[in-house]
This record gives sequence, C-alpha cells and structure tokens, in this order.
Amino acid sequence: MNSLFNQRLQSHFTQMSKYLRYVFNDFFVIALMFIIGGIGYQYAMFIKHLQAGQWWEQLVLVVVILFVIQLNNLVTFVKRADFVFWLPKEKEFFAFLRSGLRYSKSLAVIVQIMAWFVMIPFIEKAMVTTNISAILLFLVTMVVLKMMILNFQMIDNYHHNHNLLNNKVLYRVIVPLVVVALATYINVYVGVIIGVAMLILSHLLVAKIKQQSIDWQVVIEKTESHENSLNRFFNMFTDVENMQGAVRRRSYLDSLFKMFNGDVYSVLYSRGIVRDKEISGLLTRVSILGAIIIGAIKLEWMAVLIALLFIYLIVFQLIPYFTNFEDNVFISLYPINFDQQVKSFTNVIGKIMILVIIVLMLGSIFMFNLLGSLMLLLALVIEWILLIKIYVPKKIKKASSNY
Amino acid sequence: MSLKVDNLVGGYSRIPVLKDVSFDVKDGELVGLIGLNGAGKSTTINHVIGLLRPFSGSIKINGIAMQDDIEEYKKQIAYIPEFPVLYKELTLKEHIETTIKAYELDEQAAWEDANKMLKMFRLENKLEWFPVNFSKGMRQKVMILCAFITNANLFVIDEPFLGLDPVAVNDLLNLIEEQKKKGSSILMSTHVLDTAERFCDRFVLIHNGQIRTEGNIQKLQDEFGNKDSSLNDIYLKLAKEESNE
Repeated sequence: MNSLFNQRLQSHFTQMSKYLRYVFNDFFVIALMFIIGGIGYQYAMFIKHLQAGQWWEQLVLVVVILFVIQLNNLVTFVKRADFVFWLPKEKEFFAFLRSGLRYSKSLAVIVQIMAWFVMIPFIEKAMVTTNISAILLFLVTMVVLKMMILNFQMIDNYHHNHNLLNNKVLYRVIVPLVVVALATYINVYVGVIIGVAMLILSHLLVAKIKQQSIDWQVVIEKTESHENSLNRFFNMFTDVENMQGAVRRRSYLDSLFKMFNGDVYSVLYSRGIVRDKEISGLLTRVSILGAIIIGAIKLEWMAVLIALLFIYLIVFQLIPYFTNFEDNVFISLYPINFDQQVKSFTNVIGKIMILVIIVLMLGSIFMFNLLGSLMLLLALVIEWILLIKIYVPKKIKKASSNY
Repeated sequence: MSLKVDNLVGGYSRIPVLKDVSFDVKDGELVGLIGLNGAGKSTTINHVIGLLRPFSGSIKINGIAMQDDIEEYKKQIAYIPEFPVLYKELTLKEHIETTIKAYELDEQAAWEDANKMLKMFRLENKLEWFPVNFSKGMRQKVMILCAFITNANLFVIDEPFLGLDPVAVNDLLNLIEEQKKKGSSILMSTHVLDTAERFCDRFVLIHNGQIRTEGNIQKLQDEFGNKDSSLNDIYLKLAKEESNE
C-alpha cells in the first residue's frame, strides 16, 4: 500500500512540475514580484505605525489564525477505480489513506510555519511581547490545531457514527476558536495544553476508525474536487486535459439569469458559469478579496493598479470557458455560426464582469474619497471595454484558428 | 447460503430509498435483479458492495456481515460496475496484475484464466494498451475479465450487457455458467429481459424500493396473469401498475 501511495505521489509531482513550468512564466513572475513587494511594503508600513496592545489587535489575531489553520485540506490521491480494484483490501487501504494524512500534515506544517513567520511582528504587537517562547507557542498552537483538523477529516472519510465531535463546524471552527481565544486572551500555555489534548483525542479516534468501512463516495468526491481545483488553476496558464467541474443547482440565483440574453449559447454560458462550482466560487472569492484589498490599501494608485490586475486575471481565467461545451456532440450540430457563439460568450462574460466591477467599487467606498472612486471606476470601465470588446474576441478567434 | 439480505432499509442521504428489502442468492445461483429505472436496483447493489451503509437490517455473505469484519466481507465480492471504471495510467496488463495483487490470487493460475478470457474477448494483442481509450464494450470486457479471474464467492454485476456485442454477451453468459458450477453466487441487475429470462435461475422484482415479488419464471407467470407471459410482459404490467397508482 505504501508503494502504491508513493507511486501516486510521484505521478502527482510529475504532473505538478509539468504544469508549474507554465504557471511561472516570465510575465506572471514579474507580476507576482510586484504584488508581493507591494503587499510586503504595505504590511511593513502598517506594522511600523501600529500601536502595540490595542483592543482590536488580539481579535484580529484570533480571526487570522482561525483562517490560516483552514488552509490545506486532506489529500488522498484516491482514484475512482480503487473502489472496484481494491475492494478486497479495504483494511489495508487504511495504510494508503494514512500515508495521505501524513503527506497532508507535512505540507500543512510548512504552510503554517510560513504564515506564522509573516505574522510574527503582528503577534508581537498584539500580545505586547518579544518573548520568543511565547511567540513560538503560537506556532505550536497553530500546528496542533491544523493536525487535529486533518485527523478529523481523515475520520470523515470513513462511515462513522455522526457524533458531536465529528461535526465539521465543531472541529473546524468552534474548537479552534476556543483554543486560540484561550491562548490569546488567557494564557498561551492553556491554549497549547487544550490543543494538544484535542490532538491526542483525534489521534485515538483515527486509530479506531480502521475497523469501519471507507465511505468511498465521500473520498472520491473530495479527491476529485481537489484535483479539479488544481486543474482549474493550471488551466489558466495552459491547456489541461480532462477538465470537468462539479455543478451546483443554486436555485437562489435563478433570477440572475434574466439579465442574460436568451439565445442558445448565452443560456449555456451563463448557466454554466453560475452553476459550475469552481468558476463561480473563484469569481466570488476573487471579487470579494479584491474589494477588501482595494478597501484596505491606502495608496490610491496602488489600489487602482491592483483592481486593474484583478479584472484582467478574472477575464483571463474565463476565456478557456469558451470551449467548455466542445465535448458535447450537439455543439457541432447546432446551426449557429461561430461569430454568434463568440458574441454570446463575450456578452455573458461582459455582464458578469460588470457585476465584478460593482463588487470592487463597493470596496472602494471605504477608503477612497469620491474623486478616487470615480477615477477607479473610469479606469475599470476603460479596461472593461478593451478586454471585452477587443481582447477577448480576438484571443478566441486566434485560438480557434489554430485548430 | 451465499448472499442474504434481511429487512434492509437504506439509501444515499437520510431519506430511505429501500424500504425493508429482503432476498437471498444461494450458492451456484444466478439471480436477476429487475425493476424500472429508479426502482432501487443500483441502491441495492451499492449496499451489497458496501458503498452505502444500511440504516437498518443486515446484509451477510456466507454469514459474515460488513460490521463483523469489513475485509472478510469484501474479499468475497467481485464487482462489475455499470460503467467501466479504469485507471487511466495503467495498461490492460497492469490492470490484471493489480487485480491479482488485490485478491492475492495465485499468479500462474490467474494468468491462465486471464489468457483464456483475453483470447475469448479478442484482447490478447492489446495487453500493453491503455484500456481507458477502448470503446465502451471493450472496457466492459476488461472489467468482466478482471472480475472473473478472482474466483470470488459472490459476483455483483450491474447491467452488464449494454455495449457488448452478441458474441461477448454469449461469452459472458458462459463465464457466469462456469462460475455457477464452481458454486459461486451471482447477483445481476439488467433490463435485457429476454436474456435474463433464459439464463437467470430466479428473479427479484424491485419496485419503489420494495421487493414486489421474487421467484422463478413460473412463479412470476402465476402471479402476473397467464402461463405464456414472458418476463417482458410481466415487466410491462408492473410498469402499468405504477402509472395507475
């Protein structure tokens, strides 16, 4: 089983390295350097002018730690066919899943250390301390909680009796919240001790779960959704094979469809983008993140630049969706010409981008003066026209003429 | 007695799809699981193979339930899903090797069986190919092959005939016949009723998540009208009953 896991890990790395070459292309690396440099500079300024020991700082610390320990989910590298082919080896498959747990833990620890490292100056200010051991204990708390969450996620991969402890909200939010709050407000040692106790408990539960049957449907669904989000990311930079997203009904968004046209492709693209779990999730996350960043940044030109970059990145990611329905045989049978398809597509993403711009503008209300907001709006509208009316149709036509 | 399902209540979420389902498959018996779309055939099969956990009731294979010993239970099953699931990065040969490893088969004997089936399904020159790229029928043949080299006690076969050519259907029926002689039990769901009628020893008719009736063709004929009705007639009558409800 261990060799099987190593094989899977190996092929995962091979695939990652194949795609990462496309991700870190020259353009993206330069953009990334600017973003990291800009954010780093802002952060340094923020810390420099920050008064130590204000009431809200500890609150922010708790929220940030709660957020950071949600990063990295359990990965298993299970494949759909495992259920059929390894049917008689279910108990031994525990070893396979446990290898995945260990791998996820080591990955998560690295992420926690990096996040903690960035947070050190803020922790010092919030806790009004420069005591190394106290600051280190915050890292211990974060790592312990992260491992506990991963253990519970491992248990969720099995058919288990749904008791209170296995409740997702409890182990992902409430327990960590209590532990982090204790560490911040009472004493960091208290937080660490309770965290370690919870970690040991989760370890014991994992050891017991081996006797249960694996909930293959859950495992497979989780793994495939993880793969899909990775692929979706890589698909921004290059063509990824076997892209297929999960779909959600989202009936509460049905009224949204009124704003789109009624022709075949407009219907397909608008329903597709709204109901595709990955794309719609990405759109919401990126726009809200963008709005927050714009609201939080004090430098106006910087905020405008970042807003422009966000819009560009979103549109850039939506372009591959043009070919999303190509596998469907009906597409080649419909008596609709290519220009009409391009028109419908740009129309749909144009309208979606208007929504995104509105969200970004909401962010600007908080920090800008009116003039700044208007400047931002003007910049975004000009970018919208350039992208939607010129760039996207040109890019699609160029890509399709290559076939 | 090989497979025994008692008072099974189950389904995907909290809402039960199956309500109090009981039936059995004896040693050396081929039982056809028959029902309309959405009647609960696949749900039943998913419970038998352990993909779903019963809300209540029990499923035992040779007296072992999944709760007793998950591995002893599952070891006895070979499963052929409705839609072939294969590893896209493994060749046909590697699929067979994986099966041998997973079921801890005697390598020589298993390959003997495998070679026979490879020849029968005209796949013997495709050992180094990726079966993912095969046609539906050929992929189905790979699944059948991997299942039938296992000598499992219970074969669970979901809708096996779709996509198979008539020769392959015949070959599959011969394989089933062979396993029956060895004393294995086979549970098969299908809509291909004329084939089912000729080859199944018994039928379990499932309707709205309940066992409507079970028995051999004579018993069904007695229950649903006249002696000459085919399984197809009985099935259509069942469908009509539903639309009248």
